[in-house]
Amino acid sequence: MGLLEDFVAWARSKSMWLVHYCAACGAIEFPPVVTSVLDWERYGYMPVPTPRQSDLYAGMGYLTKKSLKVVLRLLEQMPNPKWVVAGCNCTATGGLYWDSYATYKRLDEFMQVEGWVPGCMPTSDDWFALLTYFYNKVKERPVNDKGSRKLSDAWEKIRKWEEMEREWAEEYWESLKKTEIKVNYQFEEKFPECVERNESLKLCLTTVEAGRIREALKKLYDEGYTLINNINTVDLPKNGVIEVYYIVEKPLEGDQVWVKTYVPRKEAEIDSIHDIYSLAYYIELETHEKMGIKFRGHPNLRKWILEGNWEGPPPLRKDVDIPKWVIKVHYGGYAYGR
Amino acid sequence: MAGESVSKSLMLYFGPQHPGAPGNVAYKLWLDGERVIDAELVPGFLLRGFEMMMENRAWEMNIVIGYRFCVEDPDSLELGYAEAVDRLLKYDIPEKAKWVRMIQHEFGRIASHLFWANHMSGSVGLRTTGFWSIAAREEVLKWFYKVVGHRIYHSFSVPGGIRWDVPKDFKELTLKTADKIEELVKDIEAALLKNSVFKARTKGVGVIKGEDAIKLGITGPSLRAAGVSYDIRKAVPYENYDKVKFDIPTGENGDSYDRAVVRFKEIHQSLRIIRQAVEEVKPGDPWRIKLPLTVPPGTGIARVEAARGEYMIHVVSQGGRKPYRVRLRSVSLPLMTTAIKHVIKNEEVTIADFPVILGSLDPCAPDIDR
Repeated sequence: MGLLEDFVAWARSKSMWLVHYCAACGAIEFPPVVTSVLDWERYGYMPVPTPRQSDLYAGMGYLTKKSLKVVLRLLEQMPNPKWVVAGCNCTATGGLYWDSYATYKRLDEFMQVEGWVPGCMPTSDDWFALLTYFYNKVKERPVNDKGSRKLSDAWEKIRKWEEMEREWAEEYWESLKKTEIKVNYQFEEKFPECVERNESLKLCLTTVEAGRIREALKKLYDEGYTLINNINTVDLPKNGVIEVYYIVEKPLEGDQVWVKTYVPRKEAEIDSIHDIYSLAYYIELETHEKMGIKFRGHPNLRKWILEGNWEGPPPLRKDVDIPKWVIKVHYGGYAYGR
Repeated sequence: MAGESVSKSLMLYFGPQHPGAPGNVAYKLWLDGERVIDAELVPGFLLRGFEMMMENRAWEMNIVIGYRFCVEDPDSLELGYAEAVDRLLKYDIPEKAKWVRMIQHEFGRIASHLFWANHMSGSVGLRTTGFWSIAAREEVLKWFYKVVGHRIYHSFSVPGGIRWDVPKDFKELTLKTADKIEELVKDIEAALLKNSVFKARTKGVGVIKGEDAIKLGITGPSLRAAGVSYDIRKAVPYENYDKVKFDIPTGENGDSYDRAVVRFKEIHQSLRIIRQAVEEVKPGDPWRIKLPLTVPPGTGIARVEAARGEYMIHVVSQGGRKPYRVRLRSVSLPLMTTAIKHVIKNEEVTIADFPVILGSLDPCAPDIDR
């Protein structure tokens, strides 16, 4: 290499700017790297907000499908030469979330990766070791090297998988329509009395018919249970129902009331309570997409968290076997092939 | 929502790739000039599907996965899952385990609040205090590394007690760490809370009054800053919180500044709890009961006061090796949806104020998606 090339390589290695996109849990070990604890600016590294001025992308942990699309778009905007490094086990193998419906399993199925750091999660020292290794490696690369590139079939793969999920969802709802499900579930309305009390947790479990849920919650709201804690659901395919728990709470005293009701699995519908408790608007959205319960009267029932992540059937239903699906689609049918 | 009133305004994406966004999460903002008229959360960038994954793993395997809902505050969730399973099995765990769990829980809270201080300082442009708080947080992480063996994720509070016995110099180590943190936090507090820029950006901004806060579903420091002294540790004591002395710091105005003050006061209260609890940890005491391989049918519930509010963990067993259903309350959901909408409705929020108000509420993005 000539003197000019040497100078270019040196200058390049001394000004690695990282695009500021903390995509997953590995990012929590980055502040010590960035700030005075380890101080990566000694090596010329720096986080920048815009991809158009950056040279480096670091994959920090699991790749949800929605985030990966953002990463691919960032990579398209970054000027050459651009580099991709990856940390954490999830970017390499799917890691702990190997059977998750919402993540892709390997970063190098979508782009070329220059350096890896293993661990769950890698400590800030590990990250720093990767960055210093990378710093030396970049110096040796030829001047006209363009660095990591996005694989040409990256978008194609994503589209194919999403299509498969959509087909599965159609199949699922079709088969649910065809099968007869008998409701065989013992239930007796006890509201406003408690069926069960737990003194140490200050809980009171009561039951109410699904048709009267709004009435019951309105009454509790007027009694001072103004804080909604959560809406829980338990799917019981053997009984043909989904149990729904509404949990409301009285602040200061800490008393909680669990209102239990049920809806049939086949036509899972219940009245929305978003006008009584404003937070219920969002909890209902989540319950709708993940459990497949329809809330009557909800103004904008749609895919929310799963939007862009999962096109398949509601993942929390017991008859939706997600691990089997993931093994078939992402690991080629071999459970330990990852 | 994008109704008729906002149809003429500009829609702007805020995040997920934005330094002011609290983690990997996006907003759709509707703007009229500089002013934010409406904000709509766009979640899902951190979805992993925990509730489904936990149904497919054995009870003891879920210890490792259960606390990853919120990366910034994993210890509260760890404790919550351990407690829920303890209740399901009707275990009365050894005293020593209870005290150590409490110390871990409080150190986790301190780490989370200090991490928040970094983000908050960044969003008002004071990078010095951000750097300092990361350095102070490093002391907590060092304590974890010595006692537990890992920095961020710990798997230390397990059903039946704690995973292993504490080291011999546990008491000295803990007290030394507490002293060091107190010294560092005092500096950060003085530099941040008395700073005129910080005051100008936060005082009277993002006001949520007590009554409203409850109706919006807010718990934790953001509720206490509005003057409601509601803390699960006092209201429904778990572990040995009924045996230690501590105060619930509250604010008056419920603005961003009060929320910051409450968090710093909470760090001092946590240190107070740690100092009392460490006296009760005696060497040689039993520290764990072993888990049986199968778990009887039933339900276990735990309510935990985490750094951001009330976590409620609900586990359902139908016998066998795996849970039938696990459900968790998202503490950040009200902060990022109803609370921010309430503020935008009542105040003139400019686009520059938006990250500051959001930062002062301290939401944890992954716990919405799960």
